[in-house]
Amino acid sequence: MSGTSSPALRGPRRRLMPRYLGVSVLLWAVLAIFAILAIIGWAVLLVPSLSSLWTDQSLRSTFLPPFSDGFPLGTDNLGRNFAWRLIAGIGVSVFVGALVAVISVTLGLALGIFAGYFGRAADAGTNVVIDVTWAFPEILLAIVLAGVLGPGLEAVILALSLTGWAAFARIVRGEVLSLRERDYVAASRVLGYGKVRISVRHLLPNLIPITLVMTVYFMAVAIVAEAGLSFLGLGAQPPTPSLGGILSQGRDYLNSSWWPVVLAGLALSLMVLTLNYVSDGLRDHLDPRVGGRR
Amino acid sequence: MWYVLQRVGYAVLVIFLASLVTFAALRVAPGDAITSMLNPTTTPPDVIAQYRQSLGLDLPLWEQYLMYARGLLTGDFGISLTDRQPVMDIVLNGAVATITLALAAFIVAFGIGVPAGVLAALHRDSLFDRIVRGIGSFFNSVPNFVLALILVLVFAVQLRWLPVSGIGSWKNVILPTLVLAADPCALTMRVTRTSVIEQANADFTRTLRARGIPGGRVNWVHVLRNSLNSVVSLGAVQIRTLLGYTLIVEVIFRWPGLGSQLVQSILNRDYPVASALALLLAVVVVIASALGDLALRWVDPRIRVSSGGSA
Amino acid sequence: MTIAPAQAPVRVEGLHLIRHGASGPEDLVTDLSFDLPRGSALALVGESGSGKSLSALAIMGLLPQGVQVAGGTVSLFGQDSSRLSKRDWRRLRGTRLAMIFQDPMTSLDPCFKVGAQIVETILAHEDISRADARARAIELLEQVQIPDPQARLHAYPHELSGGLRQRVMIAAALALRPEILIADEPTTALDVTTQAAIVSLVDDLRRDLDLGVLWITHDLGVVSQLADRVAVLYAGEMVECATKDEIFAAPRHPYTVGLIDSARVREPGIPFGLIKGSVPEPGAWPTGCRFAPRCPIAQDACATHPLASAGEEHMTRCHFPGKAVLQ
Repeated sequence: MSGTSSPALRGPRRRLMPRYLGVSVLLWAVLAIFAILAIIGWAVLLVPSLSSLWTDQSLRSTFLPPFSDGFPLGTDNLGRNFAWRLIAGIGVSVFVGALVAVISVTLGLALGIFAGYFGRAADAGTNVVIDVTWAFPEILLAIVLAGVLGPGLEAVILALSLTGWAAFARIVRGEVLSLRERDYVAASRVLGYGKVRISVRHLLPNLIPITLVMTVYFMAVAIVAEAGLSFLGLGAQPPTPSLGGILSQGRDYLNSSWWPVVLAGLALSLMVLTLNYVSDGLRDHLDPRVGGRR
Repeated sequence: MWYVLQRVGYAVLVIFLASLVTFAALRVAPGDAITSMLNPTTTPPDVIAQYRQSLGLDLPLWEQYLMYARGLLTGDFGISLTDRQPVMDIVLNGAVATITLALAAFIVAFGIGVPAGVLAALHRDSLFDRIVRGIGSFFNSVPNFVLALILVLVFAVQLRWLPVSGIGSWKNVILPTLVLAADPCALTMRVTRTSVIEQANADFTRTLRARGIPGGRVNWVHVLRNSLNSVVSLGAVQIRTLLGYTLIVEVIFRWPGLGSQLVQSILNRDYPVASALALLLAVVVVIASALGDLALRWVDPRIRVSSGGSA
Repeated sequence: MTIAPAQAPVRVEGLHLIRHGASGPEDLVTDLSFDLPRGSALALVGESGSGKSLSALAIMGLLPQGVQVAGGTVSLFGQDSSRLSKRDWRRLRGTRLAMIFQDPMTSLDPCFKVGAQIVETILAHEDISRADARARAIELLEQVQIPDPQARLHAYPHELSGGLRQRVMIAAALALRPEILIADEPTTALDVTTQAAIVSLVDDLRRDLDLGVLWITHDLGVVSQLADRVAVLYAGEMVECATKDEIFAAPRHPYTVGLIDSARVREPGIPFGLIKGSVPEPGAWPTGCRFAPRCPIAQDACATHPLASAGEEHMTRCHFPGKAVLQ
């Protein structure tokens, strides 16, 4: 490299925190905390004997503020322990977010490779489907689907997976179009390997970095979308706690208790912020073209 | 010219397919119009059959779609199941409120986002740049309904400066506009900043400086002009984002626009209204994206010629 | 026919450029000196990484961020350029001092018509009407031998061929009748026939306008057509400087010998290329003679830094000048 006129001549920036995979350990720690909370949340939701933790009502102790006796985060309008409801809600968010991210990324990967590598007709067809999907703002399509399927988490997961793949398919398609011009892919083609085999052997490994990055990113998007749908009453149905549901309920009692809205909003925002930063950091780390080495 | 026709044709195709989607959703939805209007347990079967026939529900699907499409083209979007109002009236009533809100947010997002992005890029790594980026990633991560609730809590419930929700005075517009504009504004800022930095480092700026063109002119005329195409292509995307967000923001602020109507109609299982509104929003998005593509060709002389043939 | 030779419009003395790398400051160019009189053409030859482009940018006051002048002076028209204000710089660039760049595709603003870019340059320096500026632009396009200049005025850069674009760049650079033209590898991105046409165009303009030309290139073939003096740069320092004829007839530095050797048309059977390896990166320069690790005639003495044979017409920075010879 000549370096005579390269713009990256500034000295390296000092980092306060050590990094792992391009992401500060602080962010990994926050992510780990949310993961632990989510696992506790699943336990509380799925083990029947524990459900009383978040369902027990007490009309004598409604709207208790945080740090009350026995209720570290206070109680809601029905006197339920808000701490447990929040943790269960995080569990729901993380579950839906992860599942939707994995499904949309898988779909996007498959269709993106299909569009980019299996000829012009496949490309044109996939593009039309993507554009039709994109004609509806994600949340609108999700709302319509959730409306058709009837409210509930299953509908939300299906709706978000069916809308989320399009963006990723476009990215994968672009990657594949450039990858297929590379020598080793061309060489494999000349050697007579089948398209499916080339896709699996040569294209997929090259798509791993962007797939990882986008999985994290989609998880953030899906968590927001699930909360939004639940907020509108189309997602998790009461009494199942979800962050969106807590926010929607809390909104009606803003005058008497602010903490459900603030705490659930904080948990949600922090989760999304962390995931966004992690996906940005991963992208800079794994994809030198976008970020710049090191 | 050929490109324009091509692009318009493609938009029409996408709209047609989108109408198939909304039609299908209408059909697939549990319970059709009859079961919503008439109680099937108390209404005699022959009356139900008569209603079915009068609404064309006994015809084959493709004929039903033709009826549906003819209705759309003639402005007959069907009748609301809940209040028997023509859907067209609902659309017209809500459109003004939604357009007002979306337009205000669009202006705020670009009016603040573009200049802030340019300034941040020109003073890269300055305090201003860091503040702008901080605010940007904050608004990018805080979901808009959370932001809405926090703003309501602070400015309406605690400080009582602004109304909680509803419509009427100019004060009602402020919070929904801010909430709606926050994320698009952050994105606009980020895209503008990146694009300006890229262009400011481009070779041609050095040539201009070598010819003694004043630095201000290099930045505000040449760099900005070259950054314009990413801002324009962003515009179409933003319209889609904004329309999506209006759904939630209108519900939160009880803003009587298309978004809250749509959510309401879904919760009420008023499928004709929901399907018509969804398609309407989709049409706006498709038109916006086609206009965006056309504007891009107008803005960027390189695209204009390279694929347009002899125009 | 001046009696006392006035100072050359561009005089570089002991120029020292550094950048701040990961481990402290790194030298990019050291101890660079040359004069550029009007009407002459000096070729600055070197591989990429030799610091030739940075030296040119230093003369223009357009060093990229992070690169600094750490020592030496650049005198422009008798003035120490480090004393120039931002405004002085702006008035100087384009009017008396002009520069053209390597890639005419990326060096012209793609969003503006070429006519507008020339007119803009004129209007930035002269208080004349737009119509007059446009008339001047047409004249300029004619002068650089662009056919049908009236129509080309309305073309966007991407609508022109590489050769025409470079001609437009030259026209814009010459718009204000500068005394000095710095050309940073202006023909590298062009095909061979266009290269030759651009070189002879610049050569003609140099004679017609009494331009001092500083031509930066890695291609000795170009140099032979154009320059009257040649300065060879290696790893940030000048290793040899002489008249063109001297350089080609009797190169004294082994690096120059290698360059000429690898530029010659080869007859079959003769081993190709004298110089092995590549130019070391800034910061990785040897302490002694910087060329020693690649030099075919290096000896123990080369572990010390050779001094330039200063004051001579034929300058060499080698412990054994003239020992390496062309076959």
